[in-house]
Amino acid sequence: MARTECVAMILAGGQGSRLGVLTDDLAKPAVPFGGKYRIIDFTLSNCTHSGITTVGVLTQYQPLDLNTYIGNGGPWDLDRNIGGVYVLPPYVRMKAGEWYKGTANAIYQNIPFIEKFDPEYVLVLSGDHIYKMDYTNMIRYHKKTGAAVTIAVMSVPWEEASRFGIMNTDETGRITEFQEKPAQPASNQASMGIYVFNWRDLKEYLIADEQDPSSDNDFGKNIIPNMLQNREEMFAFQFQGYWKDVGTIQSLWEANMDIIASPPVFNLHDNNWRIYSKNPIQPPHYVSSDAYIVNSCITEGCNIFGRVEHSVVSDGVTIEKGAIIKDCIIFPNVHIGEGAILEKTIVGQGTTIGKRVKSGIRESGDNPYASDLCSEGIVLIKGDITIDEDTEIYKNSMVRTYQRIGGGEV
Amino acid sequence: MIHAMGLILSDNDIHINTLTEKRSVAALPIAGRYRLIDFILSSMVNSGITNVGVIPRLNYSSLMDHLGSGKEWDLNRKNGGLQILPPYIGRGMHGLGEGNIDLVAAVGGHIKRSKQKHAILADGNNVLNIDFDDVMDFHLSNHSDITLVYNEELQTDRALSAHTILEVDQNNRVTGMEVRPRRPKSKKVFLNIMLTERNFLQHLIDEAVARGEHDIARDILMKKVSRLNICAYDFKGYVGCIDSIRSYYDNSIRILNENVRKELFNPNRPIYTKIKDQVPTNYGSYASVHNSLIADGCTIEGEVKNSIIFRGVYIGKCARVSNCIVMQNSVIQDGCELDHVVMDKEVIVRESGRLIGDYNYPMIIGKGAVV
Repeated sequence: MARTECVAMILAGGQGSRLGVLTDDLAKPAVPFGGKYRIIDFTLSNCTHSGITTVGVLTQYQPLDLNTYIGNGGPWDLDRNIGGVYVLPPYVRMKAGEWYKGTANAIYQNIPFIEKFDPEYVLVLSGDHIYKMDYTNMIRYHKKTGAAVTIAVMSVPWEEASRFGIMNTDETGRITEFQEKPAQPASNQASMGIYVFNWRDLKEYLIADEQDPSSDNDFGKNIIPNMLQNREEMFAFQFQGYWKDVGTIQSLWEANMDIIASPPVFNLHDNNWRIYSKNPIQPPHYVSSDAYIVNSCITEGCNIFGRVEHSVVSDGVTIEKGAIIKDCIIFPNVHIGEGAILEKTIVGQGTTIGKRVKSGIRESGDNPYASDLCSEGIVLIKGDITIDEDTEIYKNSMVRTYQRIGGGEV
Repeated sequence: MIHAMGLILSDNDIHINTLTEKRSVAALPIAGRYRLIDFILSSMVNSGITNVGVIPRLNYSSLMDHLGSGKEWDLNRKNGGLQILPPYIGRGMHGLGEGNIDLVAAVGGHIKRSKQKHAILADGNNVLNIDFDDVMDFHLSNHSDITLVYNEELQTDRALSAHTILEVDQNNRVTGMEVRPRRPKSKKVFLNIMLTERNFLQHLIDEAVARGEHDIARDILMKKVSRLNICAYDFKGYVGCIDSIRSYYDNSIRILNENVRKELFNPNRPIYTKIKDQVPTNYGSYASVHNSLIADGCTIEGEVKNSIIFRGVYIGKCARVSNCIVMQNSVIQDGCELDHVVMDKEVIVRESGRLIGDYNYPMIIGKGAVV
């Protein structure tokens, strides 16, 4: 088999429990984003554009949709004779099967997969980040410094630095210290969870880590600190540009709003770095004479008869006459009835919103759908449910199952 | 699911001003993200046809670029799949001959090698979504030798006399046929879609070639009306036959009608096309869009009314676009005013440009023009 210089491994097995009902039956990387994408499209497209065409996707939680979505990798040009994209779930071995215990263990369990390609480098990526990045620059930097591992970092606002893994480096970019979510950060260089390893070195650390029963088998908690302790050559690679971890409902909402900001905070209208996805087979969207659309993005298969302000509308959505949506994210194939008013609401795939439903407009101390996961007024409604006519859903709600109670109020 | 091969004639000598100067009519962009051929091709695929030959004639590079390996239509098959059958000019004087008989004769080898029992031969310039299962049922239950598909409410503003008109008796049998009659005897317009057995098609073509004949309707069908059981299938769905700038414009604008859209874009029988991986369309703060069809990848800052906007179009601030068809990647800069304009791909209209056509004479701007 022809040798592959670099194999990318995408960690896509996390449960994503902070995304609430969105990940009830969907792995986080398969959550819709930006009107016609899934979150993992960004990482997969980055790989293709970077010329990395051997990609393993490590799945374990609710993999069905993600697996069928990735398929043979055709939409990302990853249907290759040599390499291509592989979905790698945990599997049963001779003695016993086991789940991926942590990020490092997930790679450990796939050592035979990586060995098949005999790579020089392994690029470890996360399947739930929104960004455009040319990995070739990072790999070139990795080769130049001769490091055992190169970690991509970016400057974050100082006040947010304590939410990240912080890399402290000397003036040459060599990593001297790593602090996971420090209270008193010594720098504002946050790890983006993107690593280039020399495969030979990584393999040794993975095997050693597996033999340590007290280990969490995690890159951030174990492998990186161990390498630091052993004084391996570790370098930070400065990334400049947009990057967002969409692990929470708040950050998912913000990232969607970033693409419709004017000028866009994150620009997807980029012919040189197109984000590929499995395109829906739908006609162009129709905008009726009564419709009003501003500061929004709308995609194929939609029929818009109502008002859309500052919202992201996915494929196959119908917004009826008199309906108003503002600051919303509408997932595919949602139907929004006449006169419904939605603000700051995320509506899951295939849900039907009845006529005159109100959502996210008022607050209430007595909110049956109140959720810790939804703050800043955001309402999250699960996919494939129906919200009856004339219902009101208050701010900061998460609707998992809807049952009509009494006279229209829920 | 039917067991038939499909043959699409993508260039039937129809010229629509500059729009078909460098592409065959089947490659004409329509409805925001499609080419004409997508409709007949998707109809065939949705009926379970997995062997489709496309017969081009002239200027077919844009068609080939569009169809590629046939992947988007699920026609990248080991057996059959999509085949582009370019004209073959050999000693037998076939190829770029004088009519469609010559074109079909030139691909005789392909027809012979195919394994399906039946063959559907269709032109590529109709906007329709037809279920060939129904046509096949009709064909078999009528013990028809040849089945012709017609429509009685053809949505074209050109007189019926531009078409081939069928006379059909109450048993669905074709009793008469006239090509471009001055006084049509019926409103039954032949859509240039026919179904017959593959071997029989081959036989008819061979026979016609031997007699030096060129036109399928005139030289084969018309002459056989009394001798063969030629039946006519009434396709009751929406049909837009594109054969002039008038019919192109009218059929494009008709897609703004909800019922027409529902019929053409039936989710159970989707129309496939080449994927471009465009981003969703962005609407700016002052966008104002009414009764229009907008494809992906556009940025809309201005006003759009009663128009069809293809993929990747930019419409600047304070621009006003009404009753227009704006094809892929065109740029309409700030403050332009456009009315009744058909704009080919990659046109740039400079700031504050004013292009006003008329319904009876839409202004046509050629590909890549800078105005």
